[in-house]
Amino acid sequence: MTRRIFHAALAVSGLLVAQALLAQPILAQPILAQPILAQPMVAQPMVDSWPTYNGDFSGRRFSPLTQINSANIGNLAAAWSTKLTSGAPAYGVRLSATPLMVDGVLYITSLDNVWAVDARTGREVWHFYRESKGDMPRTGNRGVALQGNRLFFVTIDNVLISLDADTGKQRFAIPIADSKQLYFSSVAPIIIRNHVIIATGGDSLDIPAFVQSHDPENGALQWKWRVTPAKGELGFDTWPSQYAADFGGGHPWITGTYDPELNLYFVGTGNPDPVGAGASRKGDNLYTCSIVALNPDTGKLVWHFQVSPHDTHDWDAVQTPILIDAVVAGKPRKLLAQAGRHGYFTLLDRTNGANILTAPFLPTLNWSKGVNGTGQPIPDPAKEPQADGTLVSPPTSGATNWPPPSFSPQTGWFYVNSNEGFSLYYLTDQDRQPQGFAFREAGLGGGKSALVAIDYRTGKAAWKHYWRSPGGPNGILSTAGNLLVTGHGSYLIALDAGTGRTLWHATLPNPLANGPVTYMLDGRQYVVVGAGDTFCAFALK
Amino acid sequence: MRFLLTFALALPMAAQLPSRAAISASNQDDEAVERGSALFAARCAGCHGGAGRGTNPATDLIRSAMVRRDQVAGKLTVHPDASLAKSQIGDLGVWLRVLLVSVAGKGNQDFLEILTGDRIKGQQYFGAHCAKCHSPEGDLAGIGEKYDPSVLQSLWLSPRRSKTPRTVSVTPPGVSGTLERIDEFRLTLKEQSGTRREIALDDDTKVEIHDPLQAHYDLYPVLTDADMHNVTAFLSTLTKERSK
Repeated sequence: MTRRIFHAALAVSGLLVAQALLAQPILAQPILAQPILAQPMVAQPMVDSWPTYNGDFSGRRFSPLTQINSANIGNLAAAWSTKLTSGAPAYGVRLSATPLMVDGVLYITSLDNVWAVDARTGREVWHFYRESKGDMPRTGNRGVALQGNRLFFVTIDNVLISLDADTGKQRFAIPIADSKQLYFSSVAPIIIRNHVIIATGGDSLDIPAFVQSHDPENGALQWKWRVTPAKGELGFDTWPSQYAADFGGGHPWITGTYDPELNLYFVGTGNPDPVGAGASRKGDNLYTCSIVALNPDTGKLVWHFQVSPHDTHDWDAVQTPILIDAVVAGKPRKLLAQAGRHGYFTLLDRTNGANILTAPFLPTLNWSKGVNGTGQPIPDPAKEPQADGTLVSPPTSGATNWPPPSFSPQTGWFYVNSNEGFSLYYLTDQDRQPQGFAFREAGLGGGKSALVAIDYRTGKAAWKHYWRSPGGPNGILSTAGNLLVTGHGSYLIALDAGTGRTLWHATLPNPLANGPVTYMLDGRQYVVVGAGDTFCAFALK
Repeated sequence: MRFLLTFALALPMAAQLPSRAAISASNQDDEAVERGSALFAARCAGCHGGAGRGTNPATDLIRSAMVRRDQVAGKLTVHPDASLAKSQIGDLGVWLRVLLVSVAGKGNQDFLEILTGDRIKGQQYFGAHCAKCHSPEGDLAGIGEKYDPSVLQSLWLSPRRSKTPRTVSVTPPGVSGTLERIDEFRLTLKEQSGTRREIALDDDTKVEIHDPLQAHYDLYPVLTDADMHNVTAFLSTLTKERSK
């Protein structure tokens, strides 16, 4: 038994601590030297590590840890903080990645950089830097994946790189997309058995989007699934032509979730191209703005649900599809929930993609004519970008965006940071063949931001915590200590997960840039966040 | 010649041409841009379209993988017209880069026609909803010539704050004044006496903000796009001359 499997065994015993109202244990897979585990061993969030982008495969970002809890949160204080410096000063460090923590070492990225940091002290263990080349925008990076001592991440200039997690030395570097087509990659890889699953990014030039799997041993491509269907494939008839589908985009740039029992990988796809103009792509534009279930061994599409047909507002649907296990009408159900950038909360049966519920979580939302019989919003053509402008809520940044939401099986609530506001959307390209960014946004004042606790059974807000100033959205962590941890402005904030009441706050050196994580190390529970260029850890005094 | 003319007439009425912002963002030599643009219009647009997006059957140059690769490499290898000089091919490459940048960059696009509204209806709406606080001859005199219509439309919906401070009352401790700054846990206000106070906030602190711009924000959920365009059209007529 390797040390890491021992951790998994500990996690199973720790499971008893976390028996929750609704929770059936699900979906954590520890990092494994030998990748196959018996099912019960993969059935609980980890307590002594944070081994994947979402902590486990469920996307819940719920920790069963209780050492830090709503009763003693007043004693939470800074344990260490480390300012990280990029290999090149031209681009500063922004820690928008979720760090992984395994065996006392944290792994985090920023554009072109990976760091290993001692999780006890914040001391840098190693730093890997590689300069990206090309014309693509320099966006954030969402982090690494680990398997044993093999670390994987993607670069903005589209290279899948594997490092030795112990030393930071490069194992391999494999091109994954053509930078000259203005692809840019930022997704945190996810590892399912012997598959390193990643996806393309970049919606500047109407390029086809892919989810793809690589061999962890040498990076060799195992399969590629194109978001937009080819002629003869299901969904092709939602495009007016092969040409429109070929240039239809839909990049799934945020990490998905996985159900080992169903052996399905769930991921949200991006918005269709050209962005903001629908004239040359009339139809629903599958499988853009959809939640898709892929077989991780083959890349074959098993089911799909399009949460936003024919998007024209740049609202991708990449927000984390969270897996919820619950008893509904006396029957155990495997569910999947997403709070989308377009302002709707969607609940699906994750065995087949059937819609159970769709409900707006943004009171100001005004772009749809309601929800159709299959649970899809009906876009109002009058609210598509217009040459003379149309007033639309939400703004292009969305009702929410990529920062991770959380689901607590203890409270049964789905937590998401949201923005209520309006923008003017202008169509800027009336060519018969619009291309690239075919619209402009003019932002308006008066927006409000709120942390919302959505009851997944009804889609209604159980409570809302309106922030006193607009901003965000920010990532969220929930714990069995009845806590929600998130950020707003320059503060790290803990709230009562049941009531939304503020319990504690600390001033960060910069605004929160990622989703908070937590783990137990040497008997001490840590909460760790990225605040701009500074990595900050908190623990009880 | 006649053949070429037919093609020219078949071009879309308004080819999507790059904005100044896109030309500037493409970071190319101005004279080369001009030469490349003229050359493209004369020698390429007939088949490939004014914006290079192709016609049936000519290739869409913006979506051509070959053109994109060439652009990144800083050269143009695709030049079917053997009569072009090397320097002309270079200029065409510059123009193709401008065309690519113009579609790829967020915010590189020009606004199209903003003033589509009915200014008479806009004036009526203004009289009914805006005249309580604003006057075409007073605070808004000349606003139509001061701003481009796209800016004007944003500004009347969401004016800048500088002239319109927010006031606030905070309980506890039961003080009020001009709001200078607020975040989740701290508020700074200036009392009428001129004293500046910083107040710590928690969930139980009652903070009532009076924002003179709130009437504008309250419009958003109820304002129709038609009314919005009408008001913008009306405001665009407010010249200083007219206000006299």
